[in-house]
Amino acid sequence: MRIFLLLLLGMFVVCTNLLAQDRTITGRIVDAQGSGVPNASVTIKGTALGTTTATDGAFTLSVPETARTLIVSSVGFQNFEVSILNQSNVTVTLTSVVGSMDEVVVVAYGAQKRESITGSVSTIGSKQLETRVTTNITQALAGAAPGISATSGNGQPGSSAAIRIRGFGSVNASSAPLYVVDGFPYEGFLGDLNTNDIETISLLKDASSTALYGARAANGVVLITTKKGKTAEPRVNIVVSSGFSQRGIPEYDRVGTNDYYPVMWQALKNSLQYPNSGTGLSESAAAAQASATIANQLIYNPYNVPNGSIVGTDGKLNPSATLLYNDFDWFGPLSQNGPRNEVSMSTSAKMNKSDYYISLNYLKDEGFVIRSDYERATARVSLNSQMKSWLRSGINLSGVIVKSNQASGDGGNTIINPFVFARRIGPIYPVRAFSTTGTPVLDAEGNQVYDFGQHAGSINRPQGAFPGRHVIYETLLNQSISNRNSIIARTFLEGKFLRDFTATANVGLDLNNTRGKGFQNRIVGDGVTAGGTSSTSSNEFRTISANQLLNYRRSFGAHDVGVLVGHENQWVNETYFNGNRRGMNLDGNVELINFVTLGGVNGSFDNLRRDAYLSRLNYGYNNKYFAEFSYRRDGSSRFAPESRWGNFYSVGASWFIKRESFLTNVDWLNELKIRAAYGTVGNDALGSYYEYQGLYGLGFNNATEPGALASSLSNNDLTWEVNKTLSLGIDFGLFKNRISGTLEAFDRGSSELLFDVPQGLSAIVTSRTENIGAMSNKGLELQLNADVVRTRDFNWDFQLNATSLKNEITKLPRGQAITSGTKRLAEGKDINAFYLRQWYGVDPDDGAGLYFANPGLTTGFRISKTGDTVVTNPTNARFEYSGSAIPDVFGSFGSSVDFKGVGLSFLLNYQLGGKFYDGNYQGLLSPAYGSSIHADVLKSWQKPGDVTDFPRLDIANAGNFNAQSNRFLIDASYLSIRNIAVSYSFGKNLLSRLKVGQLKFYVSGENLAVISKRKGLNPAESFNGTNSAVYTPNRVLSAGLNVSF
Amino acid sequence: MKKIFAFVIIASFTLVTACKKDFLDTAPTGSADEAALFTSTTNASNVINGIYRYMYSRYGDQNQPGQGGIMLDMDFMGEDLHQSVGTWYTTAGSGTGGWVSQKNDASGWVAFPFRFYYRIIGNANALIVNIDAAAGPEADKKRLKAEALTIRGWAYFNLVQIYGKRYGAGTTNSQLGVSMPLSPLDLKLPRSTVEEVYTQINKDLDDALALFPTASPALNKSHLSLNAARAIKARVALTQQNYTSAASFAKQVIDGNAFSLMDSTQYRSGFNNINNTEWIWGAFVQDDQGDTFGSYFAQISWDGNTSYIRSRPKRINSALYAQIKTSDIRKTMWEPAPTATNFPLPSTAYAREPFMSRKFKTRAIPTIGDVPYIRLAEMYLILAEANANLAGKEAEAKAALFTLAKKRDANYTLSTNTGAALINEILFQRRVEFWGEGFRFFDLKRLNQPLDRTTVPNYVSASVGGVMQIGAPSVDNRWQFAIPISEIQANPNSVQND
Repeated sequence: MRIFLLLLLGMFVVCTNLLAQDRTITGRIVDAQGSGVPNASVTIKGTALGTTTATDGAFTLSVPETARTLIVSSVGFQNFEVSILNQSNVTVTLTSVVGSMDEVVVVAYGAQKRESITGSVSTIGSKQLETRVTTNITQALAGAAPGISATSGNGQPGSSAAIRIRGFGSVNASSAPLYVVDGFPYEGFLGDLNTNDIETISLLKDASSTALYGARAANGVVLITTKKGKTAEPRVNIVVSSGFSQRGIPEYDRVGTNDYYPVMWQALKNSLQYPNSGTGLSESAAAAQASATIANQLIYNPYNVPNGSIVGTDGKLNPSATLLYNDFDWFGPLSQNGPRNEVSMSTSAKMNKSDYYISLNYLKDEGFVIRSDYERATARVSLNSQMKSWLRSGINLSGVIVKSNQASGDGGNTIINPFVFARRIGPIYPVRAFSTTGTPVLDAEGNQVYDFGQHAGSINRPQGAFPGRHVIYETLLNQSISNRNSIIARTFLEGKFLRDFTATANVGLDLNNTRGKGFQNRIVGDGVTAGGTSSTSSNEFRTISANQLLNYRRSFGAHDVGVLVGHENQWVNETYFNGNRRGMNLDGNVELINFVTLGGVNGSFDNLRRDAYLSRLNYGYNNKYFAEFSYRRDGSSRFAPESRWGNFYSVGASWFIKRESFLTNVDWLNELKIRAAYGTVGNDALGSYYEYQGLYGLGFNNATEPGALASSLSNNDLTWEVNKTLSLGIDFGLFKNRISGTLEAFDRGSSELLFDVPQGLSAIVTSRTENIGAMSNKGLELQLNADVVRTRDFNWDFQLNATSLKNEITKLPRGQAITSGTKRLAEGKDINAFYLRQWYGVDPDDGAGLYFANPGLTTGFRISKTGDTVVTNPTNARFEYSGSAIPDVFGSFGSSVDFKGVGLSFLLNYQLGGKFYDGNYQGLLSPAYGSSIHADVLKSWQKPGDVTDFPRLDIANAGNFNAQSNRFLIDASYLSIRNIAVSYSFGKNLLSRLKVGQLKFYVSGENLAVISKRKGLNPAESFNGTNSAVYTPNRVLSAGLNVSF
Repeated sequence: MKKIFAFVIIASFTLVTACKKDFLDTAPTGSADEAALFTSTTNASNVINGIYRYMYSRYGDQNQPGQGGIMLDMDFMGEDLHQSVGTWYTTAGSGTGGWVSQKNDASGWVAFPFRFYYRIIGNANALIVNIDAAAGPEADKKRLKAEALTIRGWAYFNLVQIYGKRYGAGTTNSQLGVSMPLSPLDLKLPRSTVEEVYTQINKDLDDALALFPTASPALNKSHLSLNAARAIKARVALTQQNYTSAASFAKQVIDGNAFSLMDSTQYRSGFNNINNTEWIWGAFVQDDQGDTFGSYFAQISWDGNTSYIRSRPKRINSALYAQIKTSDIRKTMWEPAPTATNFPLPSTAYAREPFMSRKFKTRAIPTIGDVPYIRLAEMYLILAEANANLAGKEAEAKAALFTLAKKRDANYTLSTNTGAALINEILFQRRVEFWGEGFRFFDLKRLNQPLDRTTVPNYVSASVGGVMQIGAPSVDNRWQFAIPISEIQANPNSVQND
């Protein structure tokens, strides 16, 4: 050891001697457009000496007399060697190389040159993120690389979009990728990350690249790396953007005010004429009764005619009826152009032995629904220091404060959800109160009151129109706030010894303390019953991860060898507390102390632990042949002691064909590499931490006696779901890399699938988690980049990516299919195959909705005119497979043009094929007193002989005629304009006079439009092709400024 | 320096790597381990209490408050309890009062009673199977087992009435009933016949009746007891048209003198307190255990401040109301012409409608109240009805009826009716007495009577989609709810009703 130390010291002395400096070279590194390339590395060939360029591309370097050549390198450019013999000033123009093999890519537990990667990795750099105005980084991942599918996310500011990498890994465990931030799995909120802090995002798509993450990497890995100081000259960057949010997808077409009464009249009349029991009334008697009584059911009469004569016996609105008032737009008062403002500042530098990056960010993003917003402040410090030649340490620490007003009830079918209430209230119910004669009802101050059913003289709307409730008034008075304090910390200590060894100890900490605050007022809505309620909840989420890695790297002639062994473990703790009180005392104070009676208090603590051993061997020969092996052993507390350890491995190889002698002279071919990898990874991401245990849920107390109920059946055999991926890829670059791309085929299979196997409603618990079945995802991915024009002043490039995916369930226990919701899982079918009742059409005789009959039915069916056996009761309808939610092809294409500093870029996402089950539309087709109804019902059957696909409106049969069936499937193809940005970068001359490195203005639009098969439908809402009343995605328009000096 | 460094690295390696063997053993705090729960009678009490709590917990929708929700749905399927417009319990999406969704296998209203009773059964099964091995006093084991057996029998009794064809005395009753798991690991069983289900119900109740006398006493009336088991036995026998047995068990409860009929003041106190002397079994709801919108009193009370209660008064069959004597205290439970004077309400936001009810009142804010499952009055009416159906027992029938009716109406005189007229008088008393307590559907079904809403002057046809008449249970298959689709799909041995 002592000898080694002496040796090290000796080397240091030798190196120092070499540093005898005796001349200075200055210069500037520019790109093809003549702009300075910042952060480029300039080194003296044959030595480790060098520097990096400043923001304007300039550098100054002291070189020894013996120096002959400088090597210039920068991410995204080809390396360049320049002679410095007899020169003291050089200007180097670098050629950019898209998909360059020299690019350094962040991979699991380290970084590699792209050339040596055997797996499948896509990278997104900070440049690509620069004009994407997204509050949550996941919004920028959609379409960013082939094989990535993303949902549209939702309009609640700060919310995440769901991401899938290469299809679906699991049925009941999570199919979401693992997010790794600066080396450790990130357990926090993705919205807590400041987009401006992100240097690169690497998407690891196959087992070879992900295997080292073993547990939970089964669905791919999104590696997010934050920025570090890189320039010798301290650099300051300021980004300001300002804009606003709007609704991104329009509302469904609904029947307007003057059509509503006639439509509901029909629904009542038909129920009288075609009753479910007994003999119906004659058409004229039914019409007369409907005309006389329809207003009793709809209760409100906004017309200047009496209740009994709003709709004539001909089913038409009384021609002399005019509206007494017109105040039926419920979305209007709920909507706003929500401002979005963000400012970011960072400063960074790399001194001789230390580097730092410090940033601050403030964002306030208000949604297009009133009282929904996301306000965030983040601070980050990244500091790394080479304390000794053999010892390095660093810390990367981010603190985040978030305050977010939440739109209530998102996705749920509850009255407080604006997208339930405003969508479903009938168009004859006014927002503000009017007397029966149409005069506004005023409060003591002379303001018109809301029509919330509790003012003097009010009447209650029918059940379908939310009597006694008022989503606008409630939204204004209530509070639903989520406050969060987060810390994301990463630190390491790294030592080199015995020349080729590096030992690293890493520790990562993710802390999220979320404080929820709910207040329900005592005037209107849910808080009324208890005289106002207030609740506070606290979620403390703490993840500590630690790993210890030992690296060995050495070259023996043409052989390059790297070995990594390590150990990693993780503690996840969750503490939950919630309390609520009721009976508000003073107005304006929503804290618990201001409420009289205890409602309830609850709390729990949960934990999860993981332990893993990992290893990797890299081998490269002559920079042409590369091989990689990895092995990882994972243990998870989610499984029983005898089943909790899983072994995962991968092998991969790549061949850099272009470097073979027979291709060196082929000028048009700049890059050619093929690679193949196979590996296995595990998945334990179940809904609960204790899935294998037979448990009884606490809290079912009977008066003062404690109680518990069975909640899960034990399964000690439960173990890791295994994901196996075979990946074959070819990377190429043609014509000076003007055309480059990657074509890749993958076969991603899962076995030991974690399944919630339904036990039926007659069992003690209705499902049990088991490892059953297997599934495969086979697909092709294509990424193409073309530099159409590449000149000093004019650049135009184009990118396209496409993925085609086929999912198949290959094995189920005893071959037995599992049905749930709109899907049935069966061997040979895919995970999102719709299995639905089969709609037949409408009986022209009585307008009944008909379904194909279940075979074997002996009574209760009809024979259609074409001889088919059909039924009106969906219970007796036949089920069949009806297509899948998985599209044929999906991906994105985009282009950017840059002319003398003026830039224009766009990104489109698309999906071709696949089906979508439009449940929102289904709901809008069923008539209910007081509820809105889709405009398509105007095409309903009305009299015998009518041929239509819309059954008779019938209040009593609304459920039967509009039951879940393949009738509500629609083609899910869409084209989404995800981003368009226009920018202007000021010219060098002006900038150097202003002493500014970069100055750029831009205008950007996110999520500008979605073209789909039905107005109102968002086909990108979910992967499984179903929808609910979610906060519709927003469109963000903003302008920004990016300046650095 | 190098040594220190090496030490640090090695130390951090060993520190973390040397995890204890149980590093990966974790346990929840929100749940209890199955094995631990059945080690002692004290712990095992959790399971029976869990069941009682579940009975007043919301199942899914707000108008599905456990047993109370099923009681209301069963009454809304009749003609005596109704509303002026189609709303909760009457439209297809939110109840079966319109007689459509009970035949729709995908309806939540088909799944609700099914899952609700089977979840009770599953937990009772676990208790029955495991309790003998638990440590603790023998008397406690007997009590827990007897309670579990009683509730299992009661749950199967409800299931078979809802999902099977009616029980016909003197027939084989080989029609399909429901599947009968009797242990927690009995899964995916085929449906047993109605006769087999009743045999099991009676066996469970008989087993419980044998255990209760030597078991430790129940803490309060939220627990099933010897008398509650007898009362259920009487109900079952009445449904099986086994009138001798029905009369016998009803009489045993009455003669036990553990309960007494309410006086006029108690009758008007809102049916919300388990301490009421007439209650045999009920939910016992603490003020912090209520579900503001998902409670029985959030549906049926007249004063709960919810939009459903404010806007939709629950109304009685006006023809039935007309038959109630003016001197009968029960006549004051409804108001034929409510005004601000004769029917004051908490605020102007509450609607008034003719024949609206004031029978049920919340005990505490927001919508807290205990739910009556079995009351002594029922025993008198069972005794009366059973005896009226037995040759030579009319005197006993009239006497039983008199005891109850006299308590409700001081002017009541011993009935002079005989035969069918007497039985009809008893059934009239039943309808008035148990309005809103979940009897009407079951009574029509056991009596094989059709439903006829056209005889109800104030019934609004449009509120139930025009469904005013349903044929007798023996001829109309709508009296059997569909088996839920999720059971059919998961259980290959199950069979759908026609």
